[in-house]
Amino acid sequence: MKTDNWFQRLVRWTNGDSKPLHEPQAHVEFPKKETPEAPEAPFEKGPSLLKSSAGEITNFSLMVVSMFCCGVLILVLLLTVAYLPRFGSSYNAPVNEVSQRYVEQGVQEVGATNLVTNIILVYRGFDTYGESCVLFLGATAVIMLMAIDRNNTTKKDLEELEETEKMESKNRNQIIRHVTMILMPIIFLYGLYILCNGHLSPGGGFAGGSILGGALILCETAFGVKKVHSFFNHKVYHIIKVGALILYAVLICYTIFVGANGLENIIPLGKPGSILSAGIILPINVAVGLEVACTMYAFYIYFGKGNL
Amino acid sequence: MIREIIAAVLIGLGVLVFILSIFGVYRFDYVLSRIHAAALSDTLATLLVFVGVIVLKGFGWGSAKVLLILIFQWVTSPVATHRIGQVEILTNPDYDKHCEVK
Repeated sequence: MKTDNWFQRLVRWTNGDSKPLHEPQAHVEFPKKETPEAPEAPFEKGPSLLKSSAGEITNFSLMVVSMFCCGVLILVLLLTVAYLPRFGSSYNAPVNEVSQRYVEQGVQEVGATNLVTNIILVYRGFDTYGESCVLFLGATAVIMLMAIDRNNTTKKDLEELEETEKMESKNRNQIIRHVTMILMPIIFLYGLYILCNGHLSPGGGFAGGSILGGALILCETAFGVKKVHSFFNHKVYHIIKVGALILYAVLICYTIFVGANGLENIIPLGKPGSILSAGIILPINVAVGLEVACTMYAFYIYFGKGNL
Repeated sequence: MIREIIAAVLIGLGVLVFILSIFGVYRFDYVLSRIHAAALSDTLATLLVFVGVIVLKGFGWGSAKVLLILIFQWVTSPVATHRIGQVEILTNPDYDKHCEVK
């Protein structure tokens, strides 16, 4: 094979060749496994949409278009940087009165000693509600795309999945199971502690929720899907996911409504520093944490197994 | 004064073990040899550094927390190392070429 120029080498490098400076190696043919051909299902393969007769030209034009898009994006971002306020100007956010108000009256108005939680869950609660919705939509989209059902799976796929499941259960070893058995309650307890102490110490919904989700994933790797399925199945998942979002929505709507109309808030603020204080922050933290835990576990399980 | 010197020696030894283990991770060329070097930092180096911190700070709630972290590390890290090695043996059919496995 003759030596190619720098551009082809660059292309090979971007395509994942580990040694772009050397001659391209001959493509290694993997020996094909002899498997009995399964009977083809009627809906297994349609015509591929991405295949085009003029593949080279399409590739080139796609490259030009993507380069153009990247260039426009870079230009827009640089222009935005040019419009940012100057450093040290008196109109900047650190100097204006909002942050001063947060620091001075946050504890009396909202009741949480952790000012960051005050800001993200009450003063800017609507924004965080949007983030929770993003998590919900993300998990829903993953379920729509990755879930195994009648229309996107053949019998062969199901058999393969079952075989992998059997292999995994055979190779699942004692050490991990014992260690998980010891550690699981501790990790769950730690996650709940961080969830419920979000208004007193660093942490809160997002951090605690990721710990809970990680604990669920650890449980799945140690004991298998079926064991987790016994306490965390579709029904529980949907109830937690929708219920947490609705709880958050109701609480934040109530707070915004009451605050905007100058009415009296019936949720007691409590004594700052105790666990049962800070009004709506504790339930909101729990709701966000459950949402995050469900989303993490759903991502993991749907990308790996395709079924909860 | 003596306490600080002891703590400094312990933490220094721990950092030395860390450096050795990083050197080993980059120097060895096969997974099983590499995790052997990496496991060194998970257990011995953390033990030395944490004991040094406990000696420096004296006994109290802070030291108890450090001790808890140490126990947690000692329970989890060797399991992770063990699992990595096991996966390598399970997935790589010709691991025999690199080293002898019993």
